[in-house]
Amino acid sequence: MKYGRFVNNNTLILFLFIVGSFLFVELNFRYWYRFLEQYMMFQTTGSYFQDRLAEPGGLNEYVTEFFSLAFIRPYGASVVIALLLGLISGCFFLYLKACGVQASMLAAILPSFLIWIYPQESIALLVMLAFVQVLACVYTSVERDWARYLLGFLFLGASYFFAAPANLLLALWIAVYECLVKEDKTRFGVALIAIAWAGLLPLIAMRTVYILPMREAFFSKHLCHPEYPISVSLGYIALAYPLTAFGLYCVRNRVFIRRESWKRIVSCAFLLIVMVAGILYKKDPMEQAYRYDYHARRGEWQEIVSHARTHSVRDMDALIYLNLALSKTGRFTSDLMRFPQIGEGGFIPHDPKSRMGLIEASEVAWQVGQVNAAQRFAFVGVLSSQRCVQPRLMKRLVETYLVTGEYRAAEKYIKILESNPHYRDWATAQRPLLDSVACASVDWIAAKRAMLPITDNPLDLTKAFPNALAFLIDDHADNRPAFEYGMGYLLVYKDLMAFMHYMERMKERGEAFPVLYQEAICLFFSAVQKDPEAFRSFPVSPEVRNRFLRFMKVARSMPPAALRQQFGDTYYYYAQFIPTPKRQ
Amino acid sequence: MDNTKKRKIVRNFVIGYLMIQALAIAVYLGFGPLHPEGVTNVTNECTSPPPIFPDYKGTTIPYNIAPLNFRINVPADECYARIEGSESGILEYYGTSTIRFKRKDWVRLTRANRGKAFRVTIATKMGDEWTRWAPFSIYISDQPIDSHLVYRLIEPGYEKWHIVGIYQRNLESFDEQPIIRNDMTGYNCINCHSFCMGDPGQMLFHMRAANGGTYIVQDMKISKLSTKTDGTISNMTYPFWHPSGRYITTSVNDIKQFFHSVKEKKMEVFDLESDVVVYDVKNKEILSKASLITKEAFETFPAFSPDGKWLYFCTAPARKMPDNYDKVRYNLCRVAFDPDRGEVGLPIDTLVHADSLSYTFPRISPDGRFLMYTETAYGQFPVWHPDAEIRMMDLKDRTAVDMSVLNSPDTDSYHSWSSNSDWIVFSSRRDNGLYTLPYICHIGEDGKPSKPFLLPQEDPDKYDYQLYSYNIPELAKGKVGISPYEIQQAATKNKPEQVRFK
Repeated sequence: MKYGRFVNNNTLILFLFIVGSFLFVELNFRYWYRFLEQYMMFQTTGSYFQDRLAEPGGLNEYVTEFFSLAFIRPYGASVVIALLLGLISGCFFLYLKACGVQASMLAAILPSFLIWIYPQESIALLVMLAFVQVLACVYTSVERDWARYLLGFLFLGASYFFAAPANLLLALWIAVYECLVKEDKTRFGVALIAIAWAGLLPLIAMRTVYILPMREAFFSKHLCHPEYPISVSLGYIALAYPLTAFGLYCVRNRVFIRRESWKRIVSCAFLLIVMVAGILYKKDPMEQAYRYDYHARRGEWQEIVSHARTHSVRDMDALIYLNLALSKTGRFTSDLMRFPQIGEGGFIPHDPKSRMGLIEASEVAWQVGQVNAAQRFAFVGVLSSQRCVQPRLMKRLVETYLVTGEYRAAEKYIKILESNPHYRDWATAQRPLLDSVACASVDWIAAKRAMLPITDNPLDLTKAFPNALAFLIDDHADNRPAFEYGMGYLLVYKDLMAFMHYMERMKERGEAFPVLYQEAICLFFSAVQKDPEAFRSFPVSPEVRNRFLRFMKVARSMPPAALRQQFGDTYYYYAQFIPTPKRQ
Repeated sequence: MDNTKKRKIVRNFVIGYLMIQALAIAVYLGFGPLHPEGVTNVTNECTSPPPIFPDYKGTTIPYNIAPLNFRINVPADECYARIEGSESGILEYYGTSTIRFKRKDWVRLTRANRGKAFRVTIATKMGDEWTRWAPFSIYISDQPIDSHLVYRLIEPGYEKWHIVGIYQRNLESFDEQPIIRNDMTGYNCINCHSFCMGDPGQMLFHMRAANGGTYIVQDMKISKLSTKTDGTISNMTYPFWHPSGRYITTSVNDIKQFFHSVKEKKMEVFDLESDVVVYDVKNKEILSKASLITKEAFETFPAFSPDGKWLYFCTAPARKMPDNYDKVRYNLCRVAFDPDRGEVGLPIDTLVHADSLSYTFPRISPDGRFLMYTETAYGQFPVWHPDAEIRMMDLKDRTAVDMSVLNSPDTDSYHSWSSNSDWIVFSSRRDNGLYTLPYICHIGEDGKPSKPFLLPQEDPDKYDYQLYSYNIPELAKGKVGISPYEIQQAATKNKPEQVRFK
């Protein structure tokens, strides 16, 4: 008991759990939640609040979106989720005590570990659980039966309208409490009435207040994307709490460890082992892509390149962002062959439908100057998202409308973004650009306008990438990103004939040739068209030429590993030893 | 801390919370209606009326329209509006930037001043200084507009949709209710609603993808039909009811779309093939003798005349598509229709020749006097054509009516007549060039349009934050009685009945 003077065992466990949850999210899922923050858009307007209140579970969604504002900040998601988990677990512990279950805090936090196992797309579920737990605690704290029943009746109604399906969970909580505290027919009846009332509420609301599909009436549309099946993990998490209460009630009289000091050691050790295992082994498989998406969103292109250099690239989405970062940082030609290339899919997603695919397509289209396509993918990205909002892509819409001179459309999105605390400053800063003269004098807009397509064509950049790029290059030979992407495409697919067509034009324009192009030219005149006279007309530096000759000399004799080490970053090594990707 | 103490804390917390809530309500109710001092110190006089949104200045409105709440687009701390009608008292309203009428006041004002104008004077306060703006008038027509407007709300986007719904809005209030929304039917596409002469009891619409079919509502019963036959190239597409309710003329189209790469154009919707057919509702068959099916021409967007004796449609010589998408120009034509025999009779009468422009969406006023249509540079789907304008022909003498008051520099396209031929609702992108919004316009006896006005909303800011277009605004004489749940049942439980091609 002497330790109890400093800190209670349960408090210590709860504190450890909160810290563990913070570390778990921060180390494994922070980019995931930063990515998801883009699909939330808290607005400060009264009409937005009213719209939320006009749907079941709307207040829960409002609070969720408010908390999600923190996700973009450092440690924001980790702090919010850890605190919510702490609140849920703490309240559940109080609830268990009220039920007459003398369980430790460790038992009370066990169901919350399911959030670790099944990370959710939003914290709507956590907010709803916290809401239910707080209401349950308030409910159990009322001693007078009639007052408690009345409160329960009111809470069930309120929890439905504000945080559906909180009513269903709260009814279970109430039922479990009434059944466990005292064996009494009245209480059993109250439990049944609570469950029946909670189940009836959505049906009554469907016929009186809302016009909704059954699923949304019961479960609201905010816990998961309404177009997809409800995840079973939601059921596991929601039912875990009442089931835990029942389980603990059943073993309430059993004592597993008698000595307090051992209890403390075992529970802390168990908790630490579980948390460390979770932190070490529950990794986000898409972490790199979400990390790059986050950097791309903030314009931190150099961060992407640096990370890829030290960690290589693990998936297609990350590669698209890396290639985009190479283009943004002016290293497309120098570093392209340093990283594994998979063909067209590494430059732009094919016919994108996914959330990230649409962002990537918009980013790439914006970079190569296909403003209409950037606008279209941004638009589709906004409207196909669960909540039909995507402030980052709305920013892109503003930018594209400013470039195309559609100021009134730009103003619409500026006004919407101004209603969000996080995007307000950016949006307000764009307002002066709604004036055509001011807009034309801004450098980045002038640069984008200078590269706007002139020749109309119906080609979709994501379905006919090289042909669509060819139009852009033909319209503006000085469109460097489009040209580099185009040449990158030809080189990755080893189409040297088409590549040389563009090199001839580049030569005519008197432009400097990057090393990558020089290497490809060396290879072309060595392997495809042996014409020394023509070769000499291209400005290939002696270093590139000599290195290529050295490669040719040792390519067959040198051990593969050594050859790769010496020439792995050259185009001719890629052309010779790396299989050509399949065309889409 | 023992349990009794904890319970006490919780109880106090709950009581405190309830008290704060009660206090908040009392403060709201007690101080809300308090008005500022009024316009006591006018320091500036402005010779022009202030910019307001929606722009109701100088418009003609039906007496049964919902209150025209508006926002004053002038930076101001406070604003004041004084409304004076010759047949009613003076109304005064205060706000920060928005003027919202009380329903009772509005009804009294519009009913008392039918056939007359009322005057609105606005003052705005910035700091301690009030500015009085020049007054403007709004004319109240003594002709009512049909009570309901039915439209589809859809994101104005490209190839993807998410939430689509057909809604009915009571024009006499702000009440908007869904007729059907696609979250109830598997997130499919719902489109092309149409009423028989504005009768809310006779309606048609289509669903595509999940629960696909054409749905016809008549006598409170819903029929779900599969309308692709061996004799037609597609399902029924753009419909129009015969006034008798016995027939529906519709186009059948092989629709495609593509996206432009230049900034001046966004996207193009065109037909690879299209024909016009007539469907017999009673016998559930498409009548070949009443159909215009040719390989040599594209026929689309048919409509019956209000007397049911003429079938209007758009037609263009067939071309290779999409290569010639910008060379296809549609004429406006009509053929005689015999409702007793269910047949059309030649010759084809060409009302508007597509010499250099293209014409689409023919709609005849219920009194049979005027033909309204949309003009665009090419094609038949002008929603993405900023040049699209609404035109009208007086069928008495086939002369054009000047519609310049109605049109705007942006897309003005789909239109629907009120049953008394005094009003039209049309869709326009004049506000932001991107989202289509419904405008109401008075058409005089001589066909002369008045200045159109935007469908009023309770919160004038609603349009700023709404991410949906109002698609196919159709006026209806009353409320559609069939419930969304009945349509949902029909969509998910019923199998579509195959129509015949006779």
